Amino acid sequence: MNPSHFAAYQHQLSRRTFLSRAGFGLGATALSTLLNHDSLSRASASPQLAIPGLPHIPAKVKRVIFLYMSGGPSHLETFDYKPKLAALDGKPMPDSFTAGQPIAQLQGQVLKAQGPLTKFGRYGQNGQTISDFLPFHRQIADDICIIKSMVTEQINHDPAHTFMNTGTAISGRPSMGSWINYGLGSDNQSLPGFVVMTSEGGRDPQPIAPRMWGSGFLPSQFQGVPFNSSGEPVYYIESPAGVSDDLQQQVVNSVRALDSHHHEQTQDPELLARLAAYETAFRMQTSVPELLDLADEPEHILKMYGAVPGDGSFASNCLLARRLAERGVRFIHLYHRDWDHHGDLVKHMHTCCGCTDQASAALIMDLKQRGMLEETLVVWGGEFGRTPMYQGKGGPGRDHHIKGFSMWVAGGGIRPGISYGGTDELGYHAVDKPVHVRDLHATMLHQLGIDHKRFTYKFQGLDMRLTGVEEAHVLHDILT
Amino acid sequence: MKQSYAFLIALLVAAPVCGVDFQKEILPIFESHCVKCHNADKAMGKLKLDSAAGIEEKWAADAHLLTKGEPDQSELYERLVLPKDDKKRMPKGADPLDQDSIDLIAAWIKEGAPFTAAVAPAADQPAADTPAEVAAPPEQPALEPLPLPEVPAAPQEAIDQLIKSGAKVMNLYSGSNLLEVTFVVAPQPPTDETMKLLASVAPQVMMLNLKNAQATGAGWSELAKLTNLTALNVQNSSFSDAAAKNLEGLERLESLNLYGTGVTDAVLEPLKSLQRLQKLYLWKTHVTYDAAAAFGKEKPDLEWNLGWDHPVVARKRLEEQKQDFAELLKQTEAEANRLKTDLQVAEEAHKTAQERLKEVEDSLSKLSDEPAAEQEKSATKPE
Repeated sequence: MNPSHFAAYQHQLSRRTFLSRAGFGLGATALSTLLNHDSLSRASASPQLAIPGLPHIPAKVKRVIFLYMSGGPSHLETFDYKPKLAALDGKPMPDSFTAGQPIAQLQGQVLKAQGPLTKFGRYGQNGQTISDFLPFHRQIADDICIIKSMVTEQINHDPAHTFMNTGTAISGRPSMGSWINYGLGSDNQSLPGFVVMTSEGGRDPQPIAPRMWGSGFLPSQFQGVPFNSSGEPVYYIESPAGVSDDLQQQVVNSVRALDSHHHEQTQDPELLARLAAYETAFRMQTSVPELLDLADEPEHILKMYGAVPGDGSFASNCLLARRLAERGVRFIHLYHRDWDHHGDLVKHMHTCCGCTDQASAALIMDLKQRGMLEETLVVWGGEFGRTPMYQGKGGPGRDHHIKGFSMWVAGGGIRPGISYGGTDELGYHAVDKPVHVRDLHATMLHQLGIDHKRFTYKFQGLDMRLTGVEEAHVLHDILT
Repeated sequence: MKQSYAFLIALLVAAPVCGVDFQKEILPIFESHCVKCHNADKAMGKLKLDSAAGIEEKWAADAHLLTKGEPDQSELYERLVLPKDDKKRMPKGADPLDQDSIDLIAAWIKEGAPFTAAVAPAADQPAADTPAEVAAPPEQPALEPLPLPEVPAAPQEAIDQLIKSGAKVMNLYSGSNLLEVTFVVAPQPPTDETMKLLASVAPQVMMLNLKNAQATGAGWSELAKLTNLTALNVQNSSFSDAAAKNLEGLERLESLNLYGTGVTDAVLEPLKSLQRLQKLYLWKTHVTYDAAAAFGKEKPDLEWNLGWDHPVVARKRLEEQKQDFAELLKQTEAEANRLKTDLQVAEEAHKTAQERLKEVEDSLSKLSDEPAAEQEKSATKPE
């Protein structure tokens, strides 16, 4: 090997990559599943296995469906009823609550209290408080655990999304869906293990960056794959005109042979990711049309969700989420992006809840009747909540709020029909059993059979974790 | 000083002299009807009815639980007297309490719901909470979760054959010999052959999903060998009433999914022996509502599901919704009427304002710059 060749080789294969990939970890499992069978077949896809050592404990659930209410739904108009805030309506917000606190758009303005803009009722056996904006949620009051004491660390949308998805505000870390797929593998190699769908409908939706479902430093086959909610479901999934199935298969096999050969020389893990992506994509050519064809869904099920096939609505996506769950997809992330209600909150809540309330409840009930709720963790919530203070871009609204907000979780191993934690009398600070985003992540991993402290990936000399290095607690009080 | 103050309070709380004795009369009612679900371990609705302290704890968090003197505004009482088929009625899934017990609880609340006995406490014992400590009620022996069974590793050959037949085989957790076997994404449905393969890993199989299986009686009979089975899913398979007999001895079985099978009410009889059964899925089967409800009554810990669209289930839901929407209709009608009145008032005010404005404008336009005296003069000037 002459020196220039050696330099090129060094460039291709870093020592760390070689050492970390040769013989164990992803290298071993992925190589054996990807390289050691001769030709590709749509029928006999061997499932991607869990990494060695996982799961740490018996799992309560097999998968997560995250109903992500992007923009920050108001806890004060959904699940957190604050009569004292009503009494203070229009009066100055007491300094004792707001002094020194981070403020987003209301910076430098006079802070006035804004009473609840809707009525609440008590529903279910335990009298869960649910606002009149969410009439369908009444039906699942006994199935969900409402966490009323969420806190996060980021007050603007993008960093807050990043925080909720990756456990840190630093961009570029792996999303929770990627972590989980990397750790546990996928039951179905004909579909991606991490699917993201963003719904249409409602008013002008805010953007959501694709790095929210990025795999960061994890191998890139674990990134979320966006399915389009209307039109072509996955870009370029159809073979080009004139390319037959056989020809397609030959191409993929040839590419695989070349990539494998290259991989033997370089041991580049991204080549394996690329191989995996080709294979999954090839199988998706048949699995995706079957998945998205709702012709086999009876009318009463469509009605239950309020779904019209192909409309790209949150309702259709919830139905598709169930179908993805049935097919062994590990992490299903539905975004509905319309919850940023700085003004005209009442009007926009009607729109947003109109788009999401029925389908969220239907998803729970449908999973339940199929016996799937006990093996699924469903999470509902956004990146933060909204201020007890008035903001008036148009009619009354509320600003971003991170010191206390509500989410709900339901499914396997979660105590149903309870509320956990709480905010102060004005709904400002989570004072009773605050739940940090990291605690939510730790609990999610726990339900999947993963100890968040032991679930690490070496990157830049550090053992990286979804929950980072700060304290994170599994919420044992909400578990059965 | 502080001590005597507390003593006063204790006296006040214990004031009703010839009243209902919580410890002797109320607590026993809760103990025989309620503590199964409302105890320290399994506090449904965060409510523990096994001691005064337990009730006080919930009361502190939820004032609506008890309103002194007002049984009708105390959830603890309200939930006992709801219509028989109301989901919120307590005790859940059992007959209502007898009228005497209900009356006694009402009387107790009317007296202010005191937890202390109606005897003056000894002078040096100010704490009103001492009876709570004395009152350690006999705990209902709840079924302790069984420790995971210790089993040897399954023969690798059997596992390989299962995988070949389309199964996904996973260890329950890393290092465990227990297995989860699932055919959810299998290219072909499981058959009698598959069932025989499963029998060769019988002690190891803890969770089993045989979705769409097409087995005969002989195949299903292998299930009886899977003695450590905790969760069984046979949805949309050929599983039948007769096949259910093979489950009788599976004492660990907690979850059974029969959705989409042809089973009838007869399937429930062999399931009665399953002490730990907690979840039973019966959607799209021939099991009737009444049979399922009767079965559920025998197993208070069991959650059964006939499906969202089952006619009886749907009727109950729709009736609840009817109430909700009737209420909403009333509210919105009242609101609309109020707004109509407001609108009328506003329109009238608007009209009046318009008229007043016009009058003032007229007066303004008529006003000349001459001093008032001059005007008067000119006004009095004869034409």
